[in-house]
Amino acid sequence: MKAELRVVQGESPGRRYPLPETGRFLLGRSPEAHVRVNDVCVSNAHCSIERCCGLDSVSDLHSRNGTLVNGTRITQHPLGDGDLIQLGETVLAYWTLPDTARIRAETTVVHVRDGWQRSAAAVCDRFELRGRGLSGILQQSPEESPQVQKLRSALEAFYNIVVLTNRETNQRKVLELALDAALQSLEADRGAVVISGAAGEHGPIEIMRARDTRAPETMVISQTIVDMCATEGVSILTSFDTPAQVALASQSIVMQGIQSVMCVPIEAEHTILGVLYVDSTSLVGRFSKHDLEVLAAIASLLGTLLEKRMLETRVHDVGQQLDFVRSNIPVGLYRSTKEGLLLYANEALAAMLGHPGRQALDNVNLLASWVVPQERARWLAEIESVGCVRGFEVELRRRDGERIWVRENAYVQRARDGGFLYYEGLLEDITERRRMDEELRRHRDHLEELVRARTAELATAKEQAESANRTKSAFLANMSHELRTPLNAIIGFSEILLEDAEEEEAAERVTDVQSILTSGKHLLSLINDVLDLSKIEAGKLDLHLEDFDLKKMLDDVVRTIGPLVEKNANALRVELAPDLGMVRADSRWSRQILLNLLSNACKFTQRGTVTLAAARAAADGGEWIELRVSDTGIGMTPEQLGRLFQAFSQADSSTARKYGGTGLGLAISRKICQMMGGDISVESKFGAGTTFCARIPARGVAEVARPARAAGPAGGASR
Amino acid sequence: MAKILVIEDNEMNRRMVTRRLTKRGYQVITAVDGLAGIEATRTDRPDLILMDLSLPGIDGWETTRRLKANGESRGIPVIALTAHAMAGDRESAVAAGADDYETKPIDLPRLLAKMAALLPRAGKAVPAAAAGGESAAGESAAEA
Repeated sequence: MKAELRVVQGESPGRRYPLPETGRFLLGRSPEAHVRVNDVCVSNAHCSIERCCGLDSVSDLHSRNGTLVNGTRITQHPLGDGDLIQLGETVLAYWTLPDTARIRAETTVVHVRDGWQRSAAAVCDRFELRGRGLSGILQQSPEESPQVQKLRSALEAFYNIVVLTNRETNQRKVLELALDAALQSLEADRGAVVISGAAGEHGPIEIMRARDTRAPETMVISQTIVDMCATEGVSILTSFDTPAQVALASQSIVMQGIQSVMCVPIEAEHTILGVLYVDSTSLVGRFSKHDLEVLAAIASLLGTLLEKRMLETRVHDVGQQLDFVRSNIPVGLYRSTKEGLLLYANEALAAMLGHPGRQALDNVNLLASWVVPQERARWLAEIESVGCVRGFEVELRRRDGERIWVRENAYVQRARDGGFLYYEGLLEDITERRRMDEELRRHRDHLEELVRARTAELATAKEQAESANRTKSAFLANMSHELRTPLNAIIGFSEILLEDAEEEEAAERVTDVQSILTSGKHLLSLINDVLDLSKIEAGKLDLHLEDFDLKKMLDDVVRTIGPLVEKNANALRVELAPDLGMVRADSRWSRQILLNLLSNACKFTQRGTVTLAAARAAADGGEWIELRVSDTGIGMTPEQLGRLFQAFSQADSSTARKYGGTGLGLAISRKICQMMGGDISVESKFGAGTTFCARIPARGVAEVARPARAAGPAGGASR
Repeated sequence: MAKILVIEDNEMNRRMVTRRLTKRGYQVITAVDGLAGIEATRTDRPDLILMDLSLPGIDGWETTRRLKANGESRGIPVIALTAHAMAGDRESAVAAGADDYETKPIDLPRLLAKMAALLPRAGKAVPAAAAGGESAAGESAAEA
């Protein structure tokens, strides 16, 4: 459908702007507008014509002074022929163009009182377009006076319908006007319009009119004819002049005295919206085929009118919905020119930017609020390359100077021909979110700073501790050296004196010198233990894993411990499993641990039994050697058990005096056992005896845990 | 009679070792530091040297190295003695050329056993008093 805008009033009256086949057509003061109106009262993008689905409509682009159609301010309005669009002082008429314009009547516009109306000639243009039968009448007998009469009367009807209904908002009134025009034109006595529920704005409509004084309420029309027309979509023209036709006629037709009937469907887009019915009670054969054509043309016009109104309603509803959404959505919406000049802004955007209302943003440049206008280059590059920007974060300055961050999605709106229309953007205020992000980041940074500081502190503390530990180890090593040298002399000379005393058989002197020797040796073992423990803690004790025959080692241990077993009149029971075989461990320390456990057992047991048991065991996916030393000695209380493996801790301080020992043996034994990948466990009952169990891996431990374990809390000593 | 050179700076220990070894039939000569030790080795030709490692002046390790570097004294067995018992002392002594190692305080029977093992290599007999009676390597049960 071709259509155009004609300048009726304004800069160049008579100038025509053909509308493109489809798409959008911009009117305004902007240089980009298709119809450029140089008028200060006109906004840059004032309004646009949208062509969609054969329906043209005009939308106000939220212009400052508004767009008027036929004198009424509109937001969106469907366009019909002759509609007058007013922007400021400029008035344009909308016209669709016939494909073959046989009849082209120039439109003249006359100013009538308060509004704009069209002359009859304008209507003619329209009929040529719709062209149903009228041209036939014209061609058939242009010079016959009754025919011309008929044509005039038909034209009058159309004129009335178009002109009178155009400003009528009530659908029922429109139908009444149309029906009256039809009755008038066709000289019918009675008429009816029946509209289905789908087409009626407030449900189905049934209108009956009579030309004479008969009250329409008493009217009855033939339901048969109406139904036939409505359901089958056929036009009906009939007279009840022959007896056969009368016989066929229904009771109602006879009762009403109907002589001739015409009934045509009112259609739009191949849907039957209703029927238009006229009859004559005065004359048989009242209506000719030409009359039917006229009635059909009126029905067609009615169909178009109804359809237009239906679309108007729909467009209006959609427009209202859109307006509602635009005004209430908490997202800022805008349209702008290429330069950033705002063509439209919604309330949310106005609120975002601190303006009292969206009108305040008319013709404001959005770019002026960008804190960093240089960012626009990036924005433009993005939108130019892909037609949109997504999630673009930019800082804006509000009217009150406050800064906000927004996240923007924007699009280029283009006409069908690719021409630029405007930018359309959605802005989300993310100031709060960014503030929270920032706060979160600050907290995180602060936390990291704290962690860093704390880590540094700990590193320093660790360094200090390690340094202290090194100092301690060095001190112990040196001390032990300094202690050993005089001890060397003490023990050496004691042994010399002891030998002399023994040779001289001076019994009392032997006992005295033995005391010196025993004390010296105890001091020596104490020094040795302290040194071992400090080596363990300094991580300097190296284990030497080797394969050795366990049974052989145990036999040797049993031999060595013999004198100690006898000392307290104890009995030693040895229970060795037959399959002990070869073991991979530090043999010297394994032996030392075992001797330590056995000597403890012997020391704390009087006239009892000390049992040494050894066996292989599988557990935790590995093979273990379990060395168990049980005694029937004095045992320990739970409290004593709890302190058992602490260095320098015997069950109680008096124990040391009574039983001797440095209090370090168990601690050392356990640490070394742990370094070999095993451990020592203990069970004891006070007064009944104690069982120690040392477990060590039979095949060595993959990595011999050294400093990590050894540097632990000063663990484990002996009883 | 096997001649033993004791290089030891501590007078008490020097006297103690001298007495105990003499009592077991050894001839003992002494030196108070490394240089004196090297001199004594050259002049008195000992059969075995007991070398204290922590000596003033040149220490025991260096003295050992020098003795072992000299063709004349290379064949004389050296037993390093030290009050140091930290890990690596034995290795460092052996690395310096010592033939064996013993910690102080001296466990006399064990030291005698080590001397007895080395002396035949120097072509010297072990005194009867030292070879007899004493059991070798008498490790006692650890005190707890």
